Amino acid sequence: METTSDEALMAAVRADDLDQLVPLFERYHGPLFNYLTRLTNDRETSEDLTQTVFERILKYRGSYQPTQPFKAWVYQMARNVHADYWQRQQKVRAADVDVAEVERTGGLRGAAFSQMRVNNHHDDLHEALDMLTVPQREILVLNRFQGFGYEEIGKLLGCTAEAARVKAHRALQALRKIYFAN
Amino acid sequence: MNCEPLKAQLVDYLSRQLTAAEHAALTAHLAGCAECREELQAMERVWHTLGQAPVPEPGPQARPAFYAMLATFKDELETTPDYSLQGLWLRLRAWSIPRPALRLAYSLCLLGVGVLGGYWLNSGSKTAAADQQQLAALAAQVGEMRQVMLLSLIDNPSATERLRAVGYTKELPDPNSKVVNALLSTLNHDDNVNVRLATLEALTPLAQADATVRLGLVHALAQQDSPLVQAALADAMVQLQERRSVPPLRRLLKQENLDNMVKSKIEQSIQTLSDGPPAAPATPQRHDQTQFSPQPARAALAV
Ligand SMILES: [Zn+2]
Repeated sequence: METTSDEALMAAVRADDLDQLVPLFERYHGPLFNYLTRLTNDRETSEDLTQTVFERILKYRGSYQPTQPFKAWVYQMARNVHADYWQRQQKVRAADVDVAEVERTGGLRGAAFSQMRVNNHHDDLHEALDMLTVPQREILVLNRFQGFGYEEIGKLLGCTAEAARVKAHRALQALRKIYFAN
Repeated sequence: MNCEPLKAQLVDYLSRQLTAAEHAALTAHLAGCAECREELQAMERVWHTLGQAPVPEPGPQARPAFYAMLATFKDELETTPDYSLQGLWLRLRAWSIPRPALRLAYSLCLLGVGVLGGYWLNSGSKTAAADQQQLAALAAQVGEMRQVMLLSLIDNPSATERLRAVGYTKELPDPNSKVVNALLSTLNHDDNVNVRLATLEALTPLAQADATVRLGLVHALAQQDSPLVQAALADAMVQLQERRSVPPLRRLLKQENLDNMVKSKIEQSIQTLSDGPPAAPATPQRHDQTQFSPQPARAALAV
């Protein structure tokens, strides 16, 4: 059985054959939900965000270039969706929390994860992950859970593969320090 | 010895992304360096723990929510004419217009909409209303171009192209008489049954408001030899409550080799048309009359 490539399916979606999004949804909604959940640590939010990603795929289908890998394109979209969400959260938080406090704990830390759920024996790990900056956590998630190589991570984050490798190393080291400090 | 460059390779070691040479060099160093071994062990534990974290699975509502969203998008795509530059461009490409000159003219028209549309989006709210008006004017021009496109495609040798041309009727809010005549001519003379059926389908809604179209459809009854088109026309006449169609329908009944299914359909149509609108509340008196006169000629006489 031959399966149609992601790129061919997305090219069809781009040409208004919207039903071709169904196989892409089947292939990607699990991994995307996974990715977003690990970033937000919130199931409900991640379900909404995953839905938003597919909504944006339809809305902006015209911006897809059939020459670019679909995976990179869709993860870029997921990153943007998460970034938008994170910014909204930041604003909400800034409205009722002392701004200085946010500054002190580091601009990229924690804001989106106030609703985190600690309810199993992976608590320590979640707590440790939550203490990483978003970029650190993201690179670990991409590297460890999403099966991205450094080349792909580099393209997604806008840096070289080598820089991605160094970042991944530093993120894991930071996690180790937090994890074993507890 | 400087361990830092080698420590940076530990992630790759764990994720098995080292080349054979790098792997050999790192293993050799680890054998002789307790500090790096310790570091590796710690990293390995974190890496392993990470790997054991449960994989979050999307809930059961994810799929239905997606399908509902997709359905909404499909509906929008079908019902709203897409005046965005992208939408128009996609349509333009899908059309595969045979005549380069027309294509050029159409492209220029689209370009106008695109440029103005872009300008409108970029400009502030001060001029938005005026620009929107101009945008609407250009959209109307696009509508005119569509009529031209329809007329140029409707004689195409390919039935698929002719079907496409007929399909444009839906996107024309107010087709001109040339378009109407072309469609009526296609209804009567196209040698492809599917094209004729599609044309009838496109013309029927127009007939609600346009007397020429109504009359055209009545006259078309005598021209049809396909049972499918005959039956569809009879249906259209009932839908339009077009009583002038009763005489031609009666003449059709006398035709030799008339399909049996069509025959009963036409008889039924004549009956319905003669009885008046089925939606109208029928008085008991009229109902009785109908029962006692199985061949009502009231409507036919009225013509
Ligand atoms: Zn060492």
